[in-house]
Amino acid sequence: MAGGRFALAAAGPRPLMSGAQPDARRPARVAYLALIPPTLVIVPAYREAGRVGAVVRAARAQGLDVLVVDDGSPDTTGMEARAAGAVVVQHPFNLGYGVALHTGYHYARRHGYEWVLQMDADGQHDAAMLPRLAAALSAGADLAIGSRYLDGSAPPTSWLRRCATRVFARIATLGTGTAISDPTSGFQGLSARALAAVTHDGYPEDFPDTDVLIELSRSGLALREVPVRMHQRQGGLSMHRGARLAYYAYKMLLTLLLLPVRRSAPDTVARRPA
Amino acid sequence: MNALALLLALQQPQLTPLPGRQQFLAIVLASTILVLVLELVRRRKLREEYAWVWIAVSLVLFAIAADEDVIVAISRLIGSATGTSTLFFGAILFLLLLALQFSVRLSRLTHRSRTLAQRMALLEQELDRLRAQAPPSSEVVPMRPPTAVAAPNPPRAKDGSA
Repeated sequence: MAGGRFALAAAGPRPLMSGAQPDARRPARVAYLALIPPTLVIVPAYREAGRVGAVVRAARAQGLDVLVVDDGSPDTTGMEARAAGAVVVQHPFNLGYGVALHTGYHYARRHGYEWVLQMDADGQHDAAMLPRLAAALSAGADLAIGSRYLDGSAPPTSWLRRCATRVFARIATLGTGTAISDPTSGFQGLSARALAAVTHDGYPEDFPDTDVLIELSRSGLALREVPVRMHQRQGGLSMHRGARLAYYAYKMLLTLLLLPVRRSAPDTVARRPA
Repeated sequence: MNALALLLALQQPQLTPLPGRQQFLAIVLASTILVLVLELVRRRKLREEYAWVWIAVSLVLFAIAADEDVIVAISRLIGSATGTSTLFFGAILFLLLLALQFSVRLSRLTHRSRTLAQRMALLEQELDRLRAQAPPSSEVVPMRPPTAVAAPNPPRAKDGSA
């Protein structure tokens, strides 16, 4: 299994980014990097000025290429990310968290990356945990999900949010046949097979959570949760606030209901061969 | 006894043709719609693609106004008690379907603009990278370097999420 994947990695085009930007802060090759195919860290960011730079530097310190998808931030998010050593793709206007990830997936595919690790730009996700996600992928998982609930150190949240998490964790567990404790975690790793399965236009625009997990599991990919450390967000806007929680529940239930009968979406972001 | 009378009344509704004044109003309305739609197409503010629906609406109005028996016949067919309720029913049904159709079109347009924005963003990055690599040439008009501060977007009234 892993052997096939690595052979694939060797055959594909090499990423253009590594080497193009010599960076003094970048450490000598981190040991695990020799064992994994070209891997890109995707950081979707909206209005994360003052926070995104530290996140990019921490991820770069893990020896990985970092892409920040600036989702039309009116502030200096894009500039800070670039200054910290990330490649920045900038949406002309705000398109949503899911679309930012989706653009990142397409960047990864266009530039020959095999694996994708994704983390939030607000400092919630600890870059030191990235090797754990990579290790899960190395062990044969297609989707590694960083869960804050597995080692009992989850940062506190509201009562309502905890309830909703529990409900959707149950749904995700039933739908995927894999124990899922943190279905809303954006701290994930994707193998080449998972990456190929999320580039279609139907990828959810706002909340790619439980529905994506179930969809990927239904298409035969192996999911695995990995315990990770998460911090309190360092300010900024949470996606789950106020009436959005109600919309989230409605949207997720409708999507899940239609999942088995829905038509597949085309992929119009990828370039067709001319 | 009362119930029986009511039942009989329902089965044989009193359908009267539109009075002359209503007929006149319908014709005025139909003409106004027709003229307005044609004028909007002339000014290129309305696409032919959408105009035909409104032209059809005005033609139907003309037909109803011209022949009083049309509305009576339709009322009998669908079993409505009065011509007025037939008109209301038809209008509401039409608007409902129209709104649904617009929602579908809006979804498609949203999807297309989203895809365009994504491809544009990827292209822009690619262009910046190539320009940064390319040797300086007099033929290439220099673009604003990627590190320059872009004009900030106008503040939004509503916050979207990242």
